[in-house]
Amino acid sequence: MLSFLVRRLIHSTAVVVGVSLLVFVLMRLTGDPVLLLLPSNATPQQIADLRHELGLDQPIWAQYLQFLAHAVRGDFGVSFRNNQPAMALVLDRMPATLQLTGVAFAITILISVPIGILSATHRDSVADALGRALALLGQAVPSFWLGIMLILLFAVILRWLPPFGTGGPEHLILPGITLGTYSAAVTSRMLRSSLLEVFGADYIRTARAKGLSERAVVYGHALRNAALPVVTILGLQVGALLGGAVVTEYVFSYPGMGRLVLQAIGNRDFAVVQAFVILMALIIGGINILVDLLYAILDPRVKYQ
Amino acid sequence: MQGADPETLDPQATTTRSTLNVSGAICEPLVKVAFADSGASSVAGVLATSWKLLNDTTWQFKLRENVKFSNGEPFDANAVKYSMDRIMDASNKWPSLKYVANIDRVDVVDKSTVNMVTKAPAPLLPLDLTQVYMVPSKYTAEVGKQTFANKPIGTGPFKLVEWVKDDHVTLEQNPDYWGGKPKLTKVTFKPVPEASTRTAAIITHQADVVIPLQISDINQVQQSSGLKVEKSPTLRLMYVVLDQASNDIMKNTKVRQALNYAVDKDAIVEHIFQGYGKKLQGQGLTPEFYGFNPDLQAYPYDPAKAKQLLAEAGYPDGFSATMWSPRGRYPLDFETAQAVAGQLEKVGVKVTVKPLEWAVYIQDFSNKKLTPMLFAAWGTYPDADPMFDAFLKGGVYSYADLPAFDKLVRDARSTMDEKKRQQMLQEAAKLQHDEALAIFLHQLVNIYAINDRVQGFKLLPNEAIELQDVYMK
Repeated sequence: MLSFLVRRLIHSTAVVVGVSLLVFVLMRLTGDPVLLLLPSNATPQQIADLRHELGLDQPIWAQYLQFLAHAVRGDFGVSFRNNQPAMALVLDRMPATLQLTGVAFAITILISVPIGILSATHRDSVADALGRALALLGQAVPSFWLGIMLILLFAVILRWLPPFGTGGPEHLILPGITLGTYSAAVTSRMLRSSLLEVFGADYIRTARAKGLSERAVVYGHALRNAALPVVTILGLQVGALLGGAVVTEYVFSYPGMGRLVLQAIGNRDFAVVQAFVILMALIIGGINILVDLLYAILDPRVKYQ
Repeated sequence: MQGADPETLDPQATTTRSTLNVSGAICEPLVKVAFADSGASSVAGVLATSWKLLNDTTWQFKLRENVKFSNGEPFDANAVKYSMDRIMDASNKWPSLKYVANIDRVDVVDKSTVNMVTKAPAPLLPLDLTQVYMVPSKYTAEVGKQTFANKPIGTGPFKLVEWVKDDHVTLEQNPDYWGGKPKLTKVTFKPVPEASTRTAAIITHQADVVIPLQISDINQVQQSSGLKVEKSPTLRLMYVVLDQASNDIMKNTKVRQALNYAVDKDAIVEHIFQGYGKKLQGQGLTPEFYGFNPDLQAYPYDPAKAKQLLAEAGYPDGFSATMWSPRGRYPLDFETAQAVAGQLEKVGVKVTVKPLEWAVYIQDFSNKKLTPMLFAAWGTYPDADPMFDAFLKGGVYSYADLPAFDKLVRDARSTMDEKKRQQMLQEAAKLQHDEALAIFLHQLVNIYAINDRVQGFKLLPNEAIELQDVYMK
């Protein structure tokens, strides 16, 4: 088990470094923050001066090595926009995004579990067809559109909920639904197919033969076994939720990391985008390791060497 | 409610207009841009009451007396020198350095008089100073840059209460404001980047003023009770830059003129912008800009003449070209580019419009890759000089090469004689018109929504807002 963990950690670290290199190069190849920072009538001398000040006239590999040297000591550079430390800017917004992601995750579970179970236990019924149609819709609908439609219906027409911003828990409902819809859809489909697979297994027939109630069969035996692939999907969904928060935060003007990064990308604010991407890579890498460990706990057959 | 959150509340550290609308309520500059009803702009005093030239490189400013910063520090010549030195400090790497780049030093003459000495004749200095804000020396030096960026103090009509990043900035009135206590007791700025969300906010009365309002939502807001849709011209002009410097087809003046005749600018303003736009008078300037030539007119819409000119130029069957355009950066930018392309097709010019992401657009713009046609929405402060800068040979964003034009603009830069300078700029405008260095389209108009209860609110052409006289009914 220990050697497994060590191998996974090394693997994750390599992924984080690889991701940081990719983002580093991509950002520098596709836009010049210096031009974006200076007014339109700046002279070539002023542009060259600023470029030199920001260290952007050095070859990319030199910039990257400098970046790595600072990064391992926790220094991820400063934002071009306001000279504040990049990682601090990102971490500052993290609680808000985590709150939103948490709500979306809760909505995912609350919606997908009942629908998934209902669909699987009443296979091919009207309820099942409805469940599957909703799941398809949830996956197909772009979150941008969904968010604006929800604002239109619940904020403008019905005036039940606020259209944007933060405040009380009522501000998290519409963005939470917008963000959680896609993963709820994916998870419910996964749960349904996983349950159906499990229903065909020998031990389920045995349980039924023993005379157990259907309820006990589904919740006591089937669900626990069907949960395994769903747990993996949910782990992946957390990554998707953190990333999908970008669009939701934009539409609802929600002050999280996603909005910060969207702006930073548009401004080619390198340090902020890098800090965000590395942070995300670390978080998602960590979640994946946790999911694997969870697997070992949930399924006694799984042993890691 | 604006589209973006301030990146800093230090008004010296930024040039972003929407940011300065927030920090500009707290801190003030020596002078500001004032607009007459005709649109013509001038420089008016704020913390300075008058100014004059002592010689070609020295300006003297007389300061308003009995003004205090909201923390009690006096506003005087020392405060001005401190503020100027701070913004002139190149190690801050602030984009606002541009406004003071020509200043050599600031001298304190007496408590309410300062001299600013420039490195070379600077006819634009007062205009540059409209973007330079005054800060209190003791407080600013004590707390340092980072804290000042979050908690600024100034002489303005409002004081900062709190700034929750990306969520809101709350200001309260400064009862000791030299211009009289403002009628509003509290102002809250909220950044909402998505236009539909801003519309939802004004309709549900969660916001009192929303800037800007997207064109597609105008009807909805007008039909809502208690709301008004207002408009204000901006200093942002739309035109299609033609690569006269290096593209063989565009080098031909007749071609460029033909393209101007081929575009129906009225139709674009009418149908794409629903009338919210002002056709350019055949130049890259409007009445708000100093140097505007009132004798010039827009090229009339005349496709027959366009075809004739093209034939004379040697292109009776037209030609093909690419037009580069940003997308979503300015209101209906891409749609306008497509409309122009559609109209040019009718005279035989087959244009393919290619959209680019903003940062890529800017980079390719400056690398001269956006040839032979590029859609731009250029905006600067209300003087012809920075607008013409983009047409000077070798300029960072220039695709033009017209020595006569260059001479006029460069001479105007070092002329301190107002009348002569204006004359030179107007001549340059005429040259720009006659040589058709661009397809001149129209001036963007800002559309915003405001609750009927708000009185006295105006959005100025330079997109600044002045809050001291605003009140709620």
